[in-house]
Amino acid sequence: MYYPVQAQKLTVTGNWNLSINSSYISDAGVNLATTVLSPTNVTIIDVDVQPRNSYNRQYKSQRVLVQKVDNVWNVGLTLWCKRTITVTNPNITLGTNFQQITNNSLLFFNTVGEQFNIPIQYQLSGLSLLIPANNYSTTILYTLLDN
Amino acid sequence: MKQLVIFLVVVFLFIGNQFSSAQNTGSALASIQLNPIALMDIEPNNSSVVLNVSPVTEAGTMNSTSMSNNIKWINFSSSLAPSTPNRTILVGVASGNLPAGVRVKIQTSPYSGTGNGSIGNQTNEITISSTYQTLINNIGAGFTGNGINNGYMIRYVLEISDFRLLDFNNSQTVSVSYILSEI
Repeated sequence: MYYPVQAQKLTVTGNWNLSINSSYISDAGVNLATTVLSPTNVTIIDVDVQPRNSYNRQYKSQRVLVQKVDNVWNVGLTLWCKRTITVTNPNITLGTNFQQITNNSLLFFNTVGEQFNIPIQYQLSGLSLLIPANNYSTTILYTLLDN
Repeated sequence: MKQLVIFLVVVFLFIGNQFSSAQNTGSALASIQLNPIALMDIEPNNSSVVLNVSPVTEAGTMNSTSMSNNIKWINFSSSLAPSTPNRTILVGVASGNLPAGVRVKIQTSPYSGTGNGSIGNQTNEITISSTYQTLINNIGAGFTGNGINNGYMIRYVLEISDFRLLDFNNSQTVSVSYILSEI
């Protein structure tokens, strides 16, 4: 029987689960804090190369796009992402400032060669008491393309 | 020999399929649980309101009442799940008894302040008792603003209900409680 071995080029690990309650209000009479940040490494991205030869592992130029696919969402909420810089790496460029994740795929960052353990942070904006209490979720989809 | 050639072609196709299955997408889930919120306080603080009845000093006149620190503001923040009923603020005597011959009213002014949303309607005047009564109703999702001059201003007013029952050696402490209804 034939079992294909799937070569992983892009690996995304880690979800952001957030629970908003009264602790996000500074005092009675005030609205919710409008912006909430995730941990700085809530999602980790590994960018591999194919074919995985020594040249590509060092020099292949690729780009990562990001978009969201809403499951249950509210138009008042906006989601943002950025790449957290832990060590300066000249082989990863762009993506270090928060950019809004939209329902259309947009360039997030570029890579040269294989790049593992790229930490990603999210920001949720637009929180308000006027948004109905509910469970909201969206799938953040990353796509790796060759440059 | 012919059979061997066919076998090598099959192996070549197998290897090619492995390369074509490289995955170039990945995903993470962002999940936000927005819980219903009900938060209320009394501004500028919940220090005691002092209400006095003064004895008659001149024959033929009535007792007078005096009040200090008797104006407070109610602030709240509220959010609701869809299709849940609006909230209500109730008020009642939680402990203690009023001295005989007097009653205490709470007068509530219409909302004012820097808030937003569906922040309810006041009942203009209530005579407090141990039975909890609606002070503000129809509170949806919204917030009043914080501090004095935001929300609903309430004024405690002491009235003499029966002169014959007044006892000037009597002093009572009454605790008044406000409840913002949970859903």
